[in-house]
Amino acid sequence: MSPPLVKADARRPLVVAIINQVPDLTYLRIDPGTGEIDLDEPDRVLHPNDRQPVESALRVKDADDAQVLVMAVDRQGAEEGIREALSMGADEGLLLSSGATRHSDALARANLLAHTVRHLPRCDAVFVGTETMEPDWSTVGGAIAAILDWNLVPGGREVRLKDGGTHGVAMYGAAFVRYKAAGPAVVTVRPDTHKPRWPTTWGVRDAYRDRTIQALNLTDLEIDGRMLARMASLTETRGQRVVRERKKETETFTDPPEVSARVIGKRLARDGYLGGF
Amino acid sequence: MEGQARPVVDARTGRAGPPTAEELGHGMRFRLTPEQRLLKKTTREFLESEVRHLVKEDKHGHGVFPEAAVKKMQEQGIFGMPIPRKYGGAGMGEVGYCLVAEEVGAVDSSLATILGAHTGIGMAPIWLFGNEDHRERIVRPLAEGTALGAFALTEPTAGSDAARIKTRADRDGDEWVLNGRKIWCSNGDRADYILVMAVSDPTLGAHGGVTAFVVEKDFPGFQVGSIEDKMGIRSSSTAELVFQDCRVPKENVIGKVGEGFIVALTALDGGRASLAAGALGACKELLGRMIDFSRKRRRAGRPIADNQAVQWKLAELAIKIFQNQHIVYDTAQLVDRYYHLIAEGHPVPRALRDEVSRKCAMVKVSASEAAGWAIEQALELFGAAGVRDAWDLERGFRDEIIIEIFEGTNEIQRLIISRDLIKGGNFW
Amino acid sequence: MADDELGGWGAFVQEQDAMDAERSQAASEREARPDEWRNVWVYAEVRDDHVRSSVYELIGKARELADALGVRVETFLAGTGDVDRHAQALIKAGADAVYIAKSPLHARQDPDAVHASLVHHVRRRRPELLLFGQNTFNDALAARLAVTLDTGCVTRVSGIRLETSERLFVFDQVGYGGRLERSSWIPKAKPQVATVLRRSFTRPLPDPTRTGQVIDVMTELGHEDLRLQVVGEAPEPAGLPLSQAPAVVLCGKGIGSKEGYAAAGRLTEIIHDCQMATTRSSVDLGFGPADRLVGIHGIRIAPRLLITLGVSGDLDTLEGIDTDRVSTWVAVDRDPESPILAMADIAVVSDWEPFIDALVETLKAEKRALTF
Ligand SMILES: Cc1cc2nc3c(=O)[nH]c(=O)nc-3n(C[C@H](O)[C@H](O)[C@H](O)COP(=O)(O)OP(=O)(O)OC[C@H]3O[C@@H](n4cnc5c(N)ncnc54)[C@H](O)[C@@H]3O)c2cc1C
Repeated sequence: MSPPLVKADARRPLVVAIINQVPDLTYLRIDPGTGEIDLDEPDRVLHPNDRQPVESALRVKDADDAQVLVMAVDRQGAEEGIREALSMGADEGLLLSSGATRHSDALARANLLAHTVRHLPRCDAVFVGTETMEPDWSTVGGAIAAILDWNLVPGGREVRLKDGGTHGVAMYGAAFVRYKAAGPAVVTVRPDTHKPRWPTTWGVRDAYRDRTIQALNLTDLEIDGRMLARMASLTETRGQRVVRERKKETETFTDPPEVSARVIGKRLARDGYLGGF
Repeated sequence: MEGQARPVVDARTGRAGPPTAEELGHGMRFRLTPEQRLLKKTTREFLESEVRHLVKEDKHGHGVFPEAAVKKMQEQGIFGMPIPRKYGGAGMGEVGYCLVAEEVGAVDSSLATILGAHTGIGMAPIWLFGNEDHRERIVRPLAEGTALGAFALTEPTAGSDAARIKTRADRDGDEWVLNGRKIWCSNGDRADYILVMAVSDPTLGAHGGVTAFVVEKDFPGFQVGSIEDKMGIRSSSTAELVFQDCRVPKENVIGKVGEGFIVALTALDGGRASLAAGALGACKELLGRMIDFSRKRRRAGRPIADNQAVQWKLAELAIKIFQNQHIVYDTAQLVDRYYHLIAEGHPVPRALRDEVSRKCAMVKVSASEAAGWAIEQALELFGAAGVRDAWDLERGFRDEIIIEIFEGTNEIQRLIISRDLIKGGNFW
Repeated sequence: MADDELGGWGAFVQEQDAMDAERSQAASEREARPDEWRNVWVYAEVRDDHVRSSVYELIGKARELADALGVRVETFLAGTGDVDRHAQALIKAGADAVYIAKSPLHARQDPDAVHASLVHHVRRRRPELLLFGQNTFNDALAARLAVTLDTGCVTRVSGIRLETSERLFVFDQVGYGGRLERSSWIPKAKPQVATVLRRSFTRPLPDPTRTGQVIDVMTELGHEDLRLQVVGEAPEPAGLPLSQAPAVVLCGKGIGSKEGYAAAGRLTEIIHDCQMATTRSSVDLGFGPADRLVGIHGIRIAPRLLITLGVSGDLDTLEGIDTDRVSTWVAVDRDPESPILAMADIAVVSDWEPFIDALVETLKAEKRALTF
């Protein structure tokens, strides 16, 4: 086999945090003709929600002496996102390039990520966020679990390693339970799980000068590009459009309060504000 | 030397982006590196979420030191910016320090003062002129954020004319005995280590007769006197320090005996660059608020931003920010080079020292006056809302003015610049 | 396997279908061409003994799509005990059939059990569209299911359109913090799997005259299907901070007293995930607590529903509201000239107290009506 993908030590636990690079909306470019946005242009930043899987992985590092590997699929600015994760305390970065994946192909990216995980010297858990700015990103965790045939821990919190398995809190529907499971797991991490740590100034410096990010392509990974292309073609996407600002019309009620309350109350109920019962 | 960043080449294009000015052969490098951008971004986000809400001014007595905020910032690594990694700092030089000072200055001038007194004038000179023992024993805890530093030069009878300090240092065996009084010492009552300038040989005057000492807070004979009740930067405490037969071991002499004034002046140069960075941060914060307010405030049915008189204020401030941003960071890079030579024990050309002093003086004047101007404009723009304390503008008004005074008044800075001109001619 | 897992129910299904003249055509179509994917499925998620409200929203949309295609709306419910009692509500909301997979292993929403069950029954019954309400659990479930079934999956859907000629569903998705939208579809594979954001579709009014089938299906689950072992309950994580609350009642100076602030709190008991907040002047007067202060010196909120009571709308307060994120803003103020009324979507010129009394009554009644 080709040289080892990562420097990680196979004798120590290894956990992976997956991040997704999303455009920084401050720099969005919009085609004035079509109103569509150019997603390849803007700077990408580590989305706050993507700090969650990194934080979850770092907590495993703190508790179980694991090494943390950060992975991202090649998109502009992905290196910056990985550096930010490294500055929080992750040990190493992997930047996967496929050429075939485009922003809509969450399943294809999940495939690439899953295959990479398979190539690692070892892996005890994979953490991935449930939401970034990108709508389909929330499929990546479930998909990786299915591809690897690993345990899926939805909405995982306080996940720790033990005896080659994991334990912690998982979401069963809307309920939270304590679980344990043998074997490695893919953990999806909600945006409200932790207060992620801030990268310190020391961390920022080390991320750029002492940590390595390896760039790998399909050949390095021994992956068939056609397979990814097929996955990628399962969904198609058209038109990233900017949601136009709604022109606000104020509707004024000067009726007696009981009358207006009845109309407004019905409307609030219809719009679903009374919640899930 | 510090390690270098390892760039990753974009897999699709085989390169990292469009050609840079350097690649085109006409670059001048006025861009932050990715590392510096990340530093700035994380510092801003950290300060916004963890520190800004802690900023609260106490209008009574001599103010309340923002202990919680300072502690968080220390843990974050904000108090060790220019110190090399191997002595516990972030190792990001004067540029890194200025980037952080700018962000802190945008949040609160008191915090910027605490940071500046600690970093630029308290700790940096100990690293620059100290030996290995000083760097390990004193600089490390300061840089790691477990100890706070301060700098004491000003005395009741020596302000702008700092060369006339009177505090005495007399040799007694392995110790020096300090006697005298320092005033206006920022962090003075909070510091663990204070860099104190004292006269070790009254026959020699400032150059040759002044020595720099590190006084530790529990040294016998050292006492904190009164704390100033100031109009602005009230959360930064400014103390009187009293030395009464204060015994300082000879190991705490920084640099050579008799060369304390060089230590002080070198510290003040770098300190002025970071003061300017803090003032620049304040300008940026004010511009943001002015833009926001002028868009939202409606008068005569239209946002006040529709008026040219308002627009000009914004444009003018933007111009000042653009100017200062460039001179501050250009100067910070120069200071980096200068400090590197000193720290490594290389000889420093006289011309470089003069250039640093002159440029640091210029950026200090320029940025502090821009901030002073900006706060006046902001107050005008906000009308009655600005006078209320809710928007922090009246506090800013009382804070910004002080930047024009400390670390050498702006008048004195102009003296430094003009003396250089008269002596050396037109140096462009 | 001796019989298909319908067991004795197979015959019952046929019988029912025969009796139901209107639907027989669709049903026979389904039976006739087993290689094709037909019908719209909605996954009926049960939470705290109730079918989640979002399920009914999905049934409403599914009905519309199914009618356009001439197919059936079917729901799949995995549970244990007397879950059958939910079936009628699902039918009255628009379902033609309710599959109930009963197993003690479905006592909780076990991710592996639900997945295994769905894989099994989707393969067998071949729905062309499979809809889930969007949440963390269902996103992971839908994605895993899609990979297992070798199809695509689209999440965070806010709208569904039908390309009739192609028999394709085009999903509108919102992303990027609600700032961008796009359309996605699954061109080649079936079923087309999607998770749909809450409140994307209107919940249909129940039709008491509707009838449909309730079909118990067997689950071939064993404990070996469960990878995770539950070892205990975990507490719900602490509630959302005010800055993230999806609904906020903001009380200003006009609330008049501490008691007024407390009285307005009744709204938070009935509106979902709703929190109280207050303004600077109200805190200064001692009406509202300082830790709920919204504005330049307080917390910044970004709710979907904002109800302001006696707030005049000065900039100090507005600075603390991310108004772009508010989709419904109800402002109540006694003064018709109050600037906040012009900013809101719904402006109520009234004293807040009688209005809130009446609103609470209406909302209570609405809640009862919705809980079938
Ligand atoms: C908040 C605060 C914090 C401080 N922190 C520190 C600290 O940490 N450590 C420290 O050592 N000092 C500190 N200082 C002292 C500060 O550096 C001095 O205040 C400053 O150098 C000016 O000295 P002075 O106040 O004695 O003014 P003076 O020297 O009395 O000057 C008064 C006025 O005369 C002008 N002036 C004086 N000489 C000349 C001249 N030759 N030509 C033209 N104009 C002249 C000055 O510009 C000024 O306008 C601090 C001061 C303040 C306000």
